[in-house]
Amino acid sequence: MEDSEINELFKQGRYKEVIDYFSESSVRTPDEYNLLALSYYSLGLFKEARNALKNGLSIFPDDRDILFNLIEILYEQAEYEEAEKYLAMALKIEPENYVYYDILATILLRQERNEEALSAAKNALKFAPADVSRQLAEKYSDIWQEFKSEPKRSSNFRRARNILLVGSAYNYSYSFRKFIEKGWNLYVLKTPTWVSFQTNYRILEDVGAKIIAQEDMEDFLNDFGSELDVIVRTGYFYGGNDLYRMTCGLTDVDQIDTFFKVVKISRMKNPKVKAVLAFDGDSFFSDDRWNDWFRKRIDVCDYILFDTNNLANYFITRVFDKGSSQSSKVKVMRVEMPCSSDVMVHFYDTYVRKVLTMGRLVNNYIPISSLFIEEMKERISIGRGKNYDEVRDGLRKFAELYGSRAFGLGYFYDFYERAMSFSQLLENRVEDKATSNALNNTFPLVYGYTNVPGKVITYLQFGLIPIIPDDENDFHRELIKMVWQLE
Amino acid sequence: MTKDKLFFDPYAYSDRQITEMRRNIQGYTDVFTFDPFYDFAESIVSGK
Repeated sequence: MEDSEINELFKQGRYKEVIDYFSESSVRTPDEYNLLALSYYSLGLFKEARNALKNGLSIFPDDRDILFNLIEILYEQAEYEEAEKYLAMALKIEPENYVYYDILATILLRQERNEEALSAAKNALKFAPADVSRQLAEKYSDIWQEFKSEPKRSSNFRRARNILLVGSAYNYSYSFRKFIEKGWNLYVLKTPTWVSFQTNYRILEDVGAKIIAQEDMEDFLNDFGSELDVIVRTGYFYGGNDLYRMTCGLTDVDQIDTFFKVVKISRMKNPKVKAVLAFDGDSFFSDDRWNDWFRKRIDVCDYILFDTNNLANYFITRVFDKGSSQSSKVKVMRVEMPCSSDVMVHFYDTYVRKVLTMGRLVNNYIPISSLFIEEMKERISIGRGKNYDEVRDGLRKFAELYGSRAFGLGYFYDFYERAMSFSQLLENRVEDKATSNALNNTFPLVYGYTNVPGKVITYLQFGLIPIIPDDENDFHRELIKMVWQLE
Repeated sequence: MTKDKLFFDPYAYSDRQITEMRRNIQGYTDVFTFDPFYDFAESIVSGK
């Protein structure tokens, strides 16, 4: 078959026939390698297309078309590392080809290698024809503005900080984008998690985090361990709460265990790396077996953070030996919270005199007449979502639908039925377990004293005044002091 | 809310008082936002 006939088959979209032809006849010229590769590509056989081009390149190493097609396919398939390798080859052959600089700039930007991206983008502009150059300038201008405003461009240059989040964080995981906005690199080590929290990895990736699969952990630590500044894990711990443990398995243990291992390995490469272990309000420390487990490992932490002072005291009492020096590492610091830029408090001349309720009410006591209650019916993505756009829409929707409501109802389910005060619970080393409606499991009511209720955070985010128990929960006490003070 | 005050009446508060409480919320965002954690991470890395 003549070259022109093969070309004709290709033009007619008879790709299978082109591939069949070359399976019987040897590929001889650069054009034939390109035709074969593009036929594979057109049929969605990307790996075969890449291999055909690589074979062609081994015989015709300077062929511009083979190189160009290979780079395009690698770029399209997000094989950035390999694309970069061939871009370097291509730029040796065509050092003034703006397309290659543009592809390189785009790849580098996606990897947040901003300094290098800027340099590549400048070359793309330099060598592009005038009309294309204008388009490219527009494309890069937004990125440049952002880049120029970053402190690392100033004379007080500092290298980018690196933070590794072990696990997904559970609520408001997208708040970690603040690190990226401030010029940090955010890495997230993917650990198994409960199905409801799987989407957190997607949203973290969406806001610019680099996700690392658990099987790549060792390679990552070998390459970047010495560069890490902070390693953090945040989330729940269900030691002694069998009701939750049954649902979520040992994913919390797995995550914290991974955190301990990662810190130990990283310390060998960078002794200064800071290890921060944070517990959200959904944490329980009433199983002696798991408390022993913590006691043996906790010394690798530089800081141990808790949502409330009561939760911190619960942990100290149950986990640490009396007088342990480890207590000095404990701080009250809330991690899984919205960024201040996601707070939307609006003011109105008149407020709707309703008390919004969201989600479950375990016991029946509601300290408000049903006439004043407004139940939220919709599911609105605020603390979690598939991507940040969905969350942004959720924030707008909540503000629009409920932003003018005056009040929101916090948890009351166990408020008036507690058997002991918080200090009595600590002293007697019990959790005040209540029966729940799930099988035969009990629910530890210590939770009411130690937790920061997620729905109260949502109310605060939109300026709704939370109706909360006047109880021993120190977060409630803090809010009463802060919100309910009137002149 | 205390146990003795059995029912909360949203009409017991004026619009002005509600606005005032909203301003209090706005003025104490550190209590319920991520920002203090970010500042904390910056401070432990820079040794401040």
